[in-house]
Amino acid sequence: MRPARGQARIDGRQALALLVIATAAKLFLTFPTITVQAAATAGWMLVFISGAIAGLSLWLLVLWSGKVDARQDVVGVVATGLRPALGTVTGLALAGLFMADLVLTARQFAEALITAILPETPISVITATLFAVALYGAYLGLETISRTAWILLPWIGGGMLLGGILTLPYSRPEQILPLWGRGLEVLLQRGITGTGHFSELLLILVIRPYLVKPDRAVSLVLGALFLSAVTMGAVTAQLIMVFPMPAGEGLPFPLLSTVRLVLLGRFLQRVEAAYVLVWVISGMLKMALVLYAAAVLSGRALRVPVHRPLLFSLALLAFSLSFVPRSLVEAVQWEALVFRETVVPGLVGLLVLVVALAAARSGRRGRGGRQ
Amino acid sequence: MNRLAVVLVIAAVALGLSGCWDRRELEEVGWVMVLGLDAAPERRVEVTVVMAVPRGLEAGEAGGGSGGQTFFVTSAVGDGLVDALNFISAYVSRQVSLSHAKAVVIGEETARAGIGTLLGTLARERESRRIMSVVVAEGRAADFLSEIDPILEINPGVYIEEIISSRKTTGFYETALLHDVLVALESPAEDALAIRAALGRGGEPGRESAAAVTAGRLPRRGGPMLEFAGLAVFRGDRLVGVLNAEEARAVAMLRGSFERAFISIPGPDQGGARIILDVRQGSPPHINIDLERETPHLSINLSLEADIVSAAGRDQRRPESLEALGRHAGEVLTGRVRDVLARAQEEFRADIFGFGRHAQARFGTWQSWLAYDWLDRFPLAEVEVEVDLRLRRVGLEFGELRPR
Repeated sequence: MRPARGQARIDGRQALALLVIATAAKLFLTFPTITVQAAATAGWMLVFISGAIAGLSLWLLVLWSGKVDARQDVVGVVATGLRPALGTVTGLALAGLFMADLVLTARQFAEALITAILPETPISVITATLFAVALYGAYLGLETISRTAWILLPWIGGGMLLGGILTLPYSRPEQILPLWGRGLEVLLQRGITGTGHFSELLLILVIRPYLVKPDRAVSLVLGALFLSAVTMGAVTAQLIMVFPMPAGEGLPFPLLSTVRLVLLGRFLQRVEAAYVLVWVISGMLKMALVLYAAAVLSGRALRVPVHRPLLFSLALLAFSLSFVPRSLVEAVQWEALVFRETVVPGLVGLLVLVVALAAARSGRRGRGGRQ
Repeated sequence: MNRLAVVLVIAAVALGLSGCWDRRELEEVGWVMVLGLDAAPERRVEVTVVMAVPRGLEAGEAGGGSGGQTFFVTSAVGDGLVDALNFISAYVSRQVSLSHAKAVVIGEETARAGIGTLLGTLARERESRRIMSVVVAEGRAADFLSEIDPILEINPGVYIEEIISSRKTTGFYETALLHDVLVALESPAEDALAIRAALGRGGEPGRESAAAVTAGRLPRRGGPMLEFAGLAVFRGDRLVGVLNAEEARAVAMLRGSFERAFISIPGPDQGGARIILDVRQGSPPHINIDLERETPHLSINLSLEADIVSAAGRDQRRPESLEALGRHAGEVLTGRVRDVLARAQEEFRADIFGFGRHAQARFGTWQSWLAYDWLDRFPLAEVEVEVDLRLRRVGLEFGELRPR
């Protein structure tokens, strides 16, 4: 869909902040532990391998969809390049992906809040609050979410950096070795399936039409991927140095556990209260963005002229589905093993194929038209 | 206007989250300053808590006496830690919280039986923090803590915190945070250490140096009853032995965590007076590990710096005499470090120095490192150690006072 006159416009910096926060927000959940469980001491390396492979898919996706029409979202690209019906299927599939992300993120953030600071509060109340803020953000739209992300990025990044610095006294660099963790074979295998941990970067296929410079989407998404991978790799490395194997395999919220170690004299400790603020803001921004993307894609796929009427019903659906996992452990399993490492890589593979076909057909038509 | 209404509703809900369900007024919480754990019959646990009395702390009065009491000690037996804390909450009128606990004291018998389950509960518990220190007390933790009587501090938590932080200048024990102990208990690369404590009964100074004594035997009179000196050594999660305060310094030197201590050594002359040095770690220990041989081979170089505090009539106006004294001190400390290494290898069979962390860097994969089984090989390792001590300063006098 081409943005109409007066519709949202976001610049590259804002889009970058948005994509990085959406991707790296999972650091506040179980993600670092999942990578350590997968690759042991090489968990940090796994992040970079997955990032490199995900970067290749994203590069192809954004490049080829740009060949069809750089001012269209993925639904428009597939519909234009192939058939409208395929555009609908693609839109619904991606909307489903972002809905699943929303459901699992909401559940895990709610569980994290209960574990960390609100043990007595009912999970329904916490989840409803998270959804209320996400819904309001999504209702206000992409410009609001992206500008909020841009304003808060230094605070979120600074908070994470400070957390890393303040826990340096506990870091033992030798604990990041053996270098290859569970072995090169495992690294490559889990590196491929682990590309799902960068699925939030697929949002570029939704927000591209709203970029001030849509033709620079490739460098934007690769820049966001680089920043996300560096942040996620560095935090995972710090985790391994502070909570070495095998202790690092058993933490549901490793970043919280790490920050709870901060002890600089009698007067600088218990800093996790400030950290929870950073954590909740990141989670809410991510939830607002994926809810917005799910609504836009559903609307485009179903040919609804505006997406806003869909927001409430999708939020309500995600809110209800977030209670389907019976426990935190089940939610983590679904996210890590089912969603990120199975569903997303498969879906991205299909998406690359569809967009490649769309680009090829569009190219042939273009040449045919010129002839 | 609509936007303002939405923001206000969200803010009200967000504020309500902590206000409605998780609201805990300070007056409703009983703060545990120190926690004690002992095994009780039928696989139960006796939990002892030193709890602050906020009214007494506010008044700024010293402990003791019903009016100015700043803390009290109580114990309860439960099926587990939290269960026992629940009992305590039932009779102290407040909900017991571990969020300000500075140390966990474990009774010696309990430590010998294994601390994995007890500390595992603490690691899982939301309010306890991994930055509390782990102490192993001679006898039962309940008996030890019932004698707590800080004289200079009014807050028992600050008292424990100050004593434990004094290691930076005494070197009488290592840092043993719950985090360190939990990591070591699971690690295939090292064994755990805890601070040794006991009720003071008086004792004789050690033979090699006055500090060659453990808690409970410090050569002293008067003052508070609680003593902290030496280290409790674990193999797996079981206590297997105790090191004295002088040995604890050697352990710290080998772990690279030694900060500073006044160390006394015999003078170079037979029967001569003792020399006291203010010793610091010069640079991190240089540890070279060779795993190619049948048994591991470790070559360790320790670099220390020191200032002379007391040199028993020796003149240090010439650099050569200073260097000679430094060489002598280095030899003495080399002997002490070797003795500790021998005890760790032969008596405890435990890598309390964390050498395994250096060894694991030599492996390509985690599986090959685990298969090497470092902790079983460490007792057989050949270890060469050399202490290089450089005397830097002599204080405000080159020589000793020479009365007529």
